[in-house]
Amino acid sequence: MTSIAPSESADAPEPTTLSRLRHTPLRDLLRGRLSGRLDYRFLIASSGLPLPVRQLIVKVTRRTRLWRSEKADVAQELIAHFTDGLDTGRPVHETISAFGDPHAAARLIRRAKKRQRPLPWHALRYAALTLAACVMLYGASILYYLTGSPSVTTDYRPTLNAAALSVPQDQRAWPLYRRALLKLDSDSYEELKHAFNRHPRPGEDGWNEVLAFLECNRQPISLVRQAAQRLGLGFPVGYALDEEDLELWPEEPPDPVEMIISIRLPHLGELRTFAKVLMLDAQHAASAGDGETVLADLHAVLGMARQAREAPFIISDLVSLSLVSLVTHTLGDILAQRPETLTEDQLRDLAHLIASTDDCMRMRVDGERMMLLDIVQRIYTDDGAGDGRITHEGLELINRFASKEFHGSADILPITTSLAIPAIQVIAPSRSETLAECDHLFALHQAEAARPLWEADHSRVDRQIRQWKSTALGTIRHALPTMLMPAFHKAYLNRERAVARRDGLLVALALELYRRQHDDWPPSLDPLVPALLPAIPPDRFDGQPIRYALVDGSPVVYSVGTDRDDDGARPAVPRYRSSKTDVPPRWVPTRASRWIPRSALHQREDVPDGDWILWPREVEPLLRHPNLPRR
Amino acid sequence: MRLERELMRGAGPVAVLKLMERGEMYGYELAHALTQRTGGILEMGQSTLYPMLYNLQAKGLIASRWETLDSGRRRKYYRLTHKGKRRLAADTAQWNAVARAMARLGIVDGAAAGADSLKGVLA
Repeated sequence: MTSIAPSESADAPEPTTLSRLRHTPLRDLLRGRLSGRLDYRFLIASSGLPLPVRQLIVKVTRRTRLWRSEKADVAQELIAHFTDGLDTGRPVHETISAFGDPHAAARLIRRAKKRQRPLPWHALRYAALTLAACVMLYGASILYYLTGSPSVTTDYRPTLNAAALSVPQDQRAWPLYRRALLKLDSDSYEELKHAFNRHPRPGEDGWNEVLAFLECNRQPISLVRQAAQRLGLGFPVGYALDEEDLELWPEEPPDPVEMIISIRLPHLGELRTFAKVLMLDAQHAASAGDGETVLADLHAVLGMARQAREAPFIISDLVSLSLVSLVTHTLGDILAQRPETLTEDQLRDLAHLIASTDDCMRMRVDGERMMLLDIVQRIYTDDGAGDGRITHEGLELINRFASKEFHGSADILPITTSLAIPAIQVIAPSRSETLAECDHLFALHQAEAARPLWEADHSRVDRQIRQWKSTALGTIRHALPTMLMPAFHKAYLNRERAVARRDGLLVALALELYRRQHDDWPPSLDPLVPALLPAIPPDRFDGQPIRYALVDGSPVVYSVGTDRDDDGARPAVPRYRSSKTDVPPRWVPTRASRWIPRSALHQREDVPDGDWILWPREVEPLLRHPNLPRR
Repeated sequence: MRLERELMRGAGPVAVLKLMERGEMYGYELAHALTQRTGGILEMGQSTLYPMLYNLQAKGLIASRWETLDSGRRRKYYRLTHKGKRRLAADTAQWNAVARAMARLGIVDGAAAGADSLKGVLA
């Protein structure tokens, strides 16, 4: 016979009122009865059965671990069963023996009784079990994803710096630029820059301040000219600045985030400053009739444009482009105002120089591609076959990108985001999908960048990104490419406008050479070809030959502009633009250079009427304003 | 002779339903009748009888009620429900088919013997 534990004692004292209250069903209580009928121990104890039988019933009933009402029911049924058995005259031990194993009985009774429970209980039970299984599965998923680590295997810096490192030490321009920067009175330049809405030109208010600045900075200007003649810049980019360069930019501490995207390029801004100073110097030289210096300064800035492209980032190319545009503007202005400064040979020399700037106008995305690959390797695991899953570190990184406070100390991913990792994993693309999406955008851009402006339409890159971002799910799913892709289309439009201005200047140079040979302007551009121009460059807006007109006896080179309509060299009315009353309005002389796809022209009401004057360019009236906002 | 557990699992419930066909029965009475009327072949431990009854009740095949006897004792009686009757009829037909098939295969010793062996319960 099974032994009975003390806790399974079949003796129960007379229940107290409190105990009866505990064991009375609510229904009885509502009827005012303190029945205590759910107290199975008392029921068994008061059954009058022999002690071993009572102990057996207590044991079975207790072990069923059922609700109190169910236990009371089981106890009553077993009491009735054993009473019936003993009433037949069977001995106690035989009756107990015939009952069988009490453990198995308790287990089977529990299982069967639970089946009898009401449907809502079963529904709740299955819901709870399902929820628990989901929570466990989710927890296991979190653990699985938290165990994944990004695999940073490629350092892209050597590739990015291949050009910089290939420049022989004695041909590196940067050491000279550094010396020039240390000597340049940059405070005076900053004052000059912010005193006016644009740089003063010879004869204008403020020109004396320019002259004083140039006079004080002869030595750094000379150093810059020397540097610009060197083979290459020789400025390897990295996460921290060279010790010598820290003297120039003490406010640029090493970035704790050592990634390609955190590489800073402070030297590009300095090259732009140098170029602007040189262009002021060229204008000064022109006003003094010093063609050699004009030529030297223009040569120098074009050399700087070539050097600025050393690291293959799109920003480098945009700076290079802006330097070419500075040369275009300055030479165009000199040509319009003081053409006699330059000899015929110098004009030819400059024409060849300007015509060879195509390389400085190419837009590369190699750096951006490396930047993306670098980010991807820091976000995803690597399965060795080009795929991988997003990681906790990767989400922290994306969180940084999204927080717009990328640089600085590491942010901690909110716990809610950590808990959401498996869900994010379901939504987010895998490593290979992200790379495929980025490749898709790069391919679209390259196809678009290869087309001239007159064949361009709405940017497919922008359209694709807008489509991805049109839904909340898409914004999350395509977060990486949409956040990290550069503004390809803007860069492309910048290049096309710069090419248009450059081509306009080439025509202007040819016109000036013609005038010197024929003592008059040509009636059209045809006589310039092929002696002075290999071909008339296309108008970037419609692909037709660039336009030319004599207005009041003066030549004007122009493009049909946004409206694609030849208005006979009538410029679109320059517009002052300001959204704030306390900010001086900005002059927008190149309204007609604004690009709107031909297919969208008829849908727009803001298409500027008039032509885009390429040469001589309209110049914004000079304004002296102490608090003029920086452009 | 005791039946194998799996065979008992199939035969037990139908046997219990059959016993209740004649009228209400209480637990001990069922256990006793099962042993007596099957010659002990379908005897089951009383500890497994009650879980079986609870299961049949959960399936709606039987119903129960408590009755207080003259002696003041309480006893739970079980009876077939309509659903239980339908199930019994269906199970009976299946068991007869099994018995005939077994007889044809020579597993059951002749149709009469097969019928006799089950007659106690299925009659």
